Amino acid sequence: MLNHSKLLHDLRSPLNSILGFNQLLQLSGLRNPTDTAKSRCISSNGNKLVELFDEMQIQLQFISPEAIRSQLNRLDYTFNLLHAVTTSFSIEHLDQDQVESLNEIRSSVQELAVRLSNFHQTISPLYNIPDQ
Amino acid sequence: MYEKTRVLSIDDEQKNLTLIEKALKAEFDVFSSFGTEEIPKLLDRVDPQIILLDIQLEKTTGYELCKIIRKNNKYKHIVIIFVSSLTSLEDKLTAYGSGGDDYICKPIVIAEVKEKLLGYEKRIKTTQELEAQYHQASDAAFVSMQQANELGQLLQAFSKLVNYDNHDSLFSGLVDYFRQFGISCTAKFSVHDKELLYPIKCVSTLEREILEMSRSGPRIVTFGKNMLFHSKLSTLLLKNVPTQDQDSTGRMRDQFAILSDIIDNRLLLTNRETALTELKAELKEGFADIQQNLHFQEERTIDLTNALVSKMDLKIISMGLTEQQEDELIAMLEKLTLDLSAASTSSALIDTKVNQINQLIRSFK
Repeated sequence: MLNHSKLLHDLRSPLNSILGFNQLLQLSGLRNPTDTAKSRCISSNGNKLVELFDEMQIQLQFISPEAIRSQLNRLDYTFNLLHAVTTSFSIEHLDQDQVESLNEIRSSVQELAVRLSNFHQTISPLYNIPDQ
Repeated sequence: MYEKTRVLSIDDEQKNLTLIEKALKAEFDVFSSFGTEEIPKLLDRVDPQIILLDIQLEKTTGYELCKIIRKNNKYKHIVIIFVSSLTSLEDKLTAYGSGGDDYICKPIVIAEVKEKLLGYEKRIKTTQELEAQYHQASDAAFVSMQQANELGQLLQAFSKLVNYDNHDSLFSGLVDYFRQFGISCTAKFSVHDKELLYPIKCVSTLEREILEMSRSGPRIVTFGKNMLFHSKLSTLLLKNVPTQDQDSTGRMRDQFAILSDIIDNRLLLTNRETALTELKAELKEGFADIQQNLHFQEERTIDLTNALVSKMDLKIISMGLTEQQEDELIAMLEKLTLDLSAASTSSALIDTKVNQINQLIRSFK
């Protein structure tokens, strides 16, 4: 049987960077209201993903393939939002430290994208999840 | 000066290390490690007070590292906080079981991490303060014991010194006392109008001059490893006073100053005793003289009177007086002789009185 903990741990790891560096952004003071809103969006979506991973930690052993599919969809949806907001985050009003933090967030989001894709590929055949 | 608490962060991912560094650098001294370096080397190099330890590491686990750290008593004071995405109760129990103090979940909330670390920092500082206070108290207790010991030695010296009744043995007692500290002593005692220098015939010209100059100087002078104590009747010049420990030297200086006063009082007493003895002798001699003179005068008077009576007896016979006139004259001479006898008994009273006074003087110590 697959080690669910290990799988989900690999997914959570990039979120530590994403949420952590996002906190640094907020703590350092964002001058632009759009930036503030986007940062809040990163927090909420990032935390949502953590929630979903925690749920899957338990669910993967019990629920039906359809339910897992539905969970995966929610994961993708949330991730896509996260990806969109980090990509569209402008550096115009950011200082050097903040730019560095944003870069860390972006590279972690890329990392998460890769791991999420791997997760899909590992999970789907195992649980006979119908293709989207 | 405020020193920042040293925090060592161990994680196999650079991003996580960078995050911790940036989040905590304002309040703490942050050091990072991938966890591949040998633990003793790492800890000796950084000397952290807190370790933030990731559980999932490249070649080992945080649990294993924690066990290695805890095995060494040297590091028992270090606070170890696990940081990990692993969240089950089982994981947490394993964490505590391997010797960890606390647990932080990933993804970290920076404010919570800071608060937790500041809490530990406070605890560490309180412990350090308590340890410092404990050391201070132990040091103070040790110094008290030392002082009690030194005072004990001084009291012993005092009780000996007050019993010396001559200057030579007084100085000898001083030499014995100072010898135990490795100190040598030269002294000047003022006795009546004379000044006695000790050790006898061994005081150099320079020492003599220093002792002499002390008259116009301050009561206590410290110069190099030497000390000079000057009082009304005595001056002590001490050489080779130990100076490595300032506190100890200070205590010695205070004790020697007391000793100098004691010597002075002893000398005063000795001088007075000598004066008293001399006075007693003079009084005795004086009274003896008076007695002698008195007896001599008495004898002389008796002799003269007897000679007069004899001469008059002879003269009366050849003066051709009447019997009545002869009787009157003889009666007068007899009365004179009686009166003389009476006068000599008062001199016996004087004798008795003088003897009583002599006895009183003898018994006065």
